Amino acid sequence: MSDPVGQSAYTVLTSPPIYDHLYEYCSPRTLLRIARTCKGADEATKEYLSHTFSIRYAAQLRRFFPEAGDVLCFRQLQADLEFLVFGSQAQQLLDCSLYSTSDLNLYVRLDHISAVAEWLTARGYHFVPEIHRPSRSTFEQALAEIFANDYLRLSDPHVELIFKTHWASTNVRSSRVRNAWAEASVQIVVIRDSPLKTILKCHASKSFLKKHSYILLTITQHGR
Amino acid sequence: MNFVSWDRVVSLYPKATFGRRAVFFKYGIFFDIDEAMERSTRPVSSIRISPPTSALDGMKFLNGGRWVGDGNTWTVKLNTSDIRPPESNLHWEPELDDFGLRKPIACSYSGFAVTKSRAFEMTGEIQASLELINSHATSAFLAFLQPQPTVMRSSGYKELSTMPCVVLVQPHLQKLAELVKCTRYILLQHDQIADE
Repeated sequence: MSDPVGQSAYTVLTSPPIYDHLYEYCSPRTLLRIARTCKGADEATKEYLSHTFSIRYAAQLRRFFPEAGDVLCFRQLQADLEFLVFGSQAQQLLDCSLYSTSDLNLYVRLDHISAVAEWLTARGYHFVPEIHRPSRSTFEQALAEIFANDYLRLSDPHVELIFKTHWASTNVRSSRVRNAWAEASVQIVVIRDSPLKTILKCHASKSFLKKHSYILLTITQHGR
Repeated sequence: MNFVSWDRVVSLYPKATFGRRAVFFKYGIFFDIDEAMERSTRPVSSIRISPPTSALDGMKFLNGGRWVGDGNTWTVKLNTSDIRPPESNLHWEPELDDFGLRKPIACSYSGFAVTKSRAFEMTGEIQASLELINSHATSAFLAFLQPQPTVMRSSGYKELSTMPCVVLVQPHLQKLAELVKCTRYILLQHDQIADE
């Protein structure tokens, strides 16, 4: 960094007392405000957030995949298939909070669904059919129906598939879930196109407002 | 509007989401205040209704060249040192329009022509009870409730009115019941219309 002020700000803001103890108490908003003060602060907070979020993301994923090595494996799968984690998990990560009951929402392309489902099944998850859709009682049936009916080409922008599992909650960090058993739920949103495009289309487009039946956003805000 | 890709976390409306604690409720949303409360680290307990214009102001909801990764997007890169990068880069190549320009975020807020009077007119029924709680300060979150759809007689289509109603939820006890009652009432109305 050529700017001497920025350099000294960076040095101060990455010093152990601040880095290790102060940032932890900052809300995202505070951190963003610190970042806006100068280049050094921007660098320092970026570094901190990147480091912290990587750890937090792993911790969040551990709730769903508690076996050693599975978190890294999941992230590799995410890189290979380029799906997106959307919704409350992303929000929790950015907000430095933890909702005990939230599920994992994945936006996965149709051609990668089987690979993701297989990966989940190998980790103890099972497909949960929707009660009002008896024709999709197994994953294979659901997938076949999606292909057969060509749902994704119609106005219906996506189809949801839900996978669940139960295990002893020794790995669950939240104090709220101290029961003997915890349930983890992964929701896969099947899409035809790019996951990001679908998210933008479904959650931010005006035309989508009119299709009232496909809204996934739930209220996840809280006071701080 | 937050998501995680293999190498980054992205928030498209950070100012609204983490600064103002705003939620935009779309038409027909399943609004579960109990769940919101359960998820809240601090009790959320009172509400304030506020004109949409002031609530939307400054939160970068308005359209006008927003794109993923622009200056108003909050992006945090994740540690990917142990991860093999994908061959393609599906998400981050900007989508271009016919003129070779970057396509903005398709933004629902852009279409709203918000006026105070109309918003209050629509929320008239709950206005009385909400006015009670209008005076409390720090906001915990802000909920935009989609207004009732109106039938466009000329086309025969059922169009949504473009006016959101805004509810600010604030930490103040007693009044929560009012919110629950009011919000559920509104949403019930919506569902009834949707089923027609």
